[in-house]
Amino acid sequence: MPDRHHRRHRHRGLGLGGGGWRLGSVVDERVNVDLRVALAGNPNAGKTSLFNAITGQHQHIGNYPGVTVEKKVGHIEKDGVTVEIVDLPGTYSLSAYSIEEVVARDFVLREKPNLIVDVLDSTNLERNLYLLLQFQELGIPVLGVLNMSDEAEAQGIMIDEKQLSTILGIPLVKTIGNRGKGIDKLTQLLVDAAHNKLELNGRRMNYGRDLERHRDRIAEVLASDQLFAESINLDWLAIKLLEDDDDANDKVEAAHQNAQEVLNEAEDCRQRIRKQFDEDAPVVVAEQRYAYIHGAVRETVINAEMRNRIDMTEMVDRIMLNKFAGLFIFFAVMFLIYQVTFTIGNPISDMIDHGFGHLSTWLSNTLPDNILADLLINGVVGGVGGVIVFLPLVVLLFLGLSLLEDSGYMSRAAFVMDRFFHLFGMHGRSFIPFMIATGCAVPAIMSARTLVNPRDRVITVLVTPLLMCGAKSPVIAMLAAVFFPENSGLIFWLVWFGGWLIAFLAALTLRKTMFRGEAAPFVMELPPYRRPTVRGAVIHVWERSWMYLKKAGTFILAASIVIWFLLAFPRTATETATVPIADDVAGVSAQTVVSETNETANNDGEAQIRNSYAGRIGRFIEPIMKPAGFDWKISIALLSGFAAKEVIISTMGIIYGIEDTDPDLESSADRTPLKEHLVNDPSYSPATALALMFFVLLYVPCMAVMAVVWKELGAWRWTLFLAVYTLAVSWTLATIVYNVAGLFGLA
Amino acid sequence: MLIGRLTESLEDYLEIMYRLLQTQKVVRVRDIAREKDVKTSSVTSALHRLDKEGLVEYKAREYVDLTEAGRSLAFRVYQRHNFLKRFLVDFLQVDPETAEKDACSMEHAISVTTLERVASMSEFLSYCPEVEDDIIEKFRDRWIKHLNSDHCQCDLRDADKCTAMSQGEGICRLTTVNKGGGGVVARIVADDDMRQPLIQRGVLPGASIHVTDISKSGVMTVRLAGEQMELDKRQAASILVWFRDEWTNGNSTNVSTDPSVSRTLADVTIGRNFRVRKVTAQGAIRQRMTEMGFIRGATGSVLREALLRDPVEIELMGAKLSLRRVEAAGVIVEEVGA
Repeated sequence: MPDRHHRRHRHRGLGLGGGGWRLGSVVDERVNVDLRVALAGNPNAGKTSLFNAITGQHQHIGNYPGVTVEKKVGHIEKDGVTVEIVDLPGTYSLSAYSIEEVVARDFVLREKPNLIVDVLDSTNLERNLYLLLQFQELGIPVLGVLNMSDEAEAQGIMIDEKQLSTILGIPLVKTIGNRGKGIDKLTQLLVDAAHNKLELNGRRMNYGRDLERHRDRIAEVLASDQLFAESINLDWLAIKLLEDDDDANDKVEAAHQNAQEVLNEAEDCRQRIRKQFDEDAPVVVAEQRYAYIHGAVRETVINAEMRNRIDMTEMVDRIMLNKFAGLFIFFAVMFLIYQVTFTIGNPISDMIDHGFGHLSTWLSNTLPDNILADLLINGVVGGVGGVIVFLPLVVLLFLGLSLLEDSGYMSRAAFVMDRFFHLFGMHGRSFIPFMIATGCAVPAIMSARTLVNPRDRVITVLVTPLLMCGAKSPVIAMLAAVFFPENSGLIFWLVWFGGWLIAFLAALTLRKTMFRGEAAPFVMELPPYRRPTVRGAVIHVWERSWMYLKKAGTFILAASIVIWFLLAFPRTATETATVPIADDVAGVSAQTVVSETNETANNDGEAQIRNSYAGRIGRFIEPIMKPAGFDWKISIALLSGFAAKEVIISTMGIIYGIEDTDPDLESSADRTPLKEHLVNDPSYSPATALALMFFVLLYVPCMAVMAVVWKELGAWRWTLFLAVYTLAVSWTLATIVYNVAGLFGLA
Repeated sequence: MLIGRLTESLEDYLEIMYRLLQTQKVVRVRDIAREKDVKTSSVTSALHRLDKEGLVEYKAREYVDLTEAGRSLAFRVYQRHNFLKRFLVDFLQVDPETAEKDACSMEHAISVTTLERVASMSEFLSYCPEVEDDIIEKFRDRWIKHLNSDHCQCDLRDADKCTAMSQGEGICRLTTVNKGGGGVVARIVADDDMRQPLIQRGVLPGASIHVTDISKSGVMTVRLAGEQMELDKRQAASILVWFRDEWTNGNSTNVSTDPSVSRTLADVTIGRNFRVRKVTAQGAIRQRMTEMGFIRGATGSVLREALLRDPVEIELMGAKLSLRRVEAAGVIVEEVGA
């Protein structure tokens, strides 16, 4: 029955589709679980670090509201019982306001966990209890965790946990999640609960006679559909209907036999409440909850106003959020992250690059000369090398981002940036996907879920792939370094900045044309600054890097092999070309490529490529790419870049056969063999390189991004639209850049 | 009997009975009680009063009927309701739900004189040859749907130059009005984002407005119908003022403004504390704000604003929140010192 109900239901706020929430492992693993626990709480309440501390499972810790969008599951096995813990997204309430809330609420309603562990930020108890009350209403046992109790005590907030526990009718436990204190006690309580040794009664707050009378009336009408009544807690739903909750209305409309009657009754009750209280029903309900909370807090919390206490967060914010300095600091922070990433990362990348170069050389000298060895050397080693080379950059970049998230600066950045993003029709929160997109557009697009308004979300998702990401930047950085050795930093920055500019303009255009209408609310919490923990940063970086490697492993390696196949087949007649690309192709010129006649034995490799499937496609699209200054080799590389942008380099590598590098080229230590080839190839001019940089920056995002866009927006038309418009924008810009640069004598 | 002689509630009883009689043959006391959500005892006492007035026939039984007079009165109230609702929906383009609610309160209170004028207006708009046929469509399509552009499509160059200044009368953009100058609000040319908060703050057509100060950054301090408020440059630029020479010396006519509109959170000076009175925002944004603790009586302080005045950071319930000014304008507050 619950299934019928939910399948028919589509959340209104997600008119654009999915936003999905996959069930999977949980359902399968349920068999041997003694207790199923949902870990819930406000954003920034320290839920994620507590989750890590309890389960030992490594996962993302963040300080930005809504960072935990994905479901994470952990297990405790102790005293012969297995407790399963599902980490719910951080929410402020169970309304249908954002995707996180819907996810959290649907999980609780649908999966009916045995126990909800609600993590409360002790320094901000009132707002945190607001959510707890709503869990109690659902009739599922709740256990409260007074987290960050050290911070609260430092602020002079003393909580009488026994008294509060009595008033709320739930067990409470004090913890300091990021230092692992109180975790044993919490774990023990969970194990006790699994043994049915923990008393968990289902008390819930009293809304006062008037509201409860109306609630009961609605519940009574709701009960008229018996099947429906079995699927959901009616009292809870009745309150939600009094709150005029969109999602609740939809649920009734979609699944209740007498939907109209229910909705009329609810409307009627709201009217009456309005008349009686001279205030809208949703506000009255919220006021009652807060009144109850105030009562409970007044009796159990002593807030010793510490006279000389310095509010560190406020002190720091005076500088960080200063009107003028704030902006300067923001840009300085960004600059610092990029400097650190590239000055430390690039030399390590170069070393790895050389390492793989030597490996290929050694393999081609050792292995027999056949097609399998060729696959291994040019397809697999080249592909894997292309992945690993960028790992240092990815690690450093995500380390920086993780520090920003965990310290609480991320939401400040949104505060500083909102005015500007809003100017371009976006939300300050669009900043997060933008920021993450500078690392990789895949998690960035996933993080766009924090955007409440579907319009804001679609716009952000559609423009973030235009930004420089971790995969594009090595391609662009390499081109900059090779063709503009004097000003490579400046050129790189120019392209980087160009990505932002074009993304903003695209966003504005979309907002003014396809997505007109009201902007989404901006209200958000600025969490206190917290010192990022080493453990948190390590876990974060590990997860992101692992994600990158996994993505790289599947997509990039597969793509490398496909590209190798496209390049190696069909085989040319010349017998010497069994290892076609291994021959020295440094001497191949653009003329010989274009002129079809000149096919001699010493450029077998080039001939092989030209006749291969890839070469055929490349030559086929060459006339289209010509205005931007791209020949068929570049076209092939760009085609391969659809698999993943970094593949562009490895494809170029394969095309030029750099695995079989001339030993004397190695002598110039600061240049990788590929760079050498590029500089010597007359078909590349600085103008081509510049146009290529912009094209790589803007053209169709990689397969992984497209897949995520499709999944997140749930519509092929947006995915298709993304491909078409990025292609149009990139081609136009590259053509302009090529021709203008030509006028300035760069061709 | 005339409408308005009885109490609102008694008229509602008659209307309910009339409505019920449209679909069923007889009206029972508990039908009425259910419709109006009151105890049957209250219904009984109301029916006794109506019986005394000769409007219903009720003899302490279960069934009740309207007398001729009662039927006539009920019919008129019912007709008013329908007419007013139609007017709100068809002409003013109000959504049916709101129109239904508003018609419900208007039907009892509106005077015959005003009702007649509303009817005249409706006739005039519908049937007079002077009025273009598509006037309502134009109103809906240009004015209601596309508030972000200049829906009048009139030439604003005069307003920008404020030629009215020299001519002694005409329309000026508020930004072109000098310190000390003023007039009455003529129009607000802005998109919904800006228009609604302005209207909520009491900037309504016909309200007197005078510029008392202009800061270097262009923030205007104005007296709107006697109340002081600040407008940023964009807001000021969106307000068109009907300017008249003789009004500039504080000789203003105080045209109707809603006195209940007081300060919003957007108006609170940085560094000052406030107490929440009411959240006037609607929908998702209100839900979010109430969850976050914007509850009647909650106190907090405005900490700072970002560059270009937006968004603002406030402290509420011991935590820091950031919100845009447009959103802050949806919270009515009182200032409670620094």
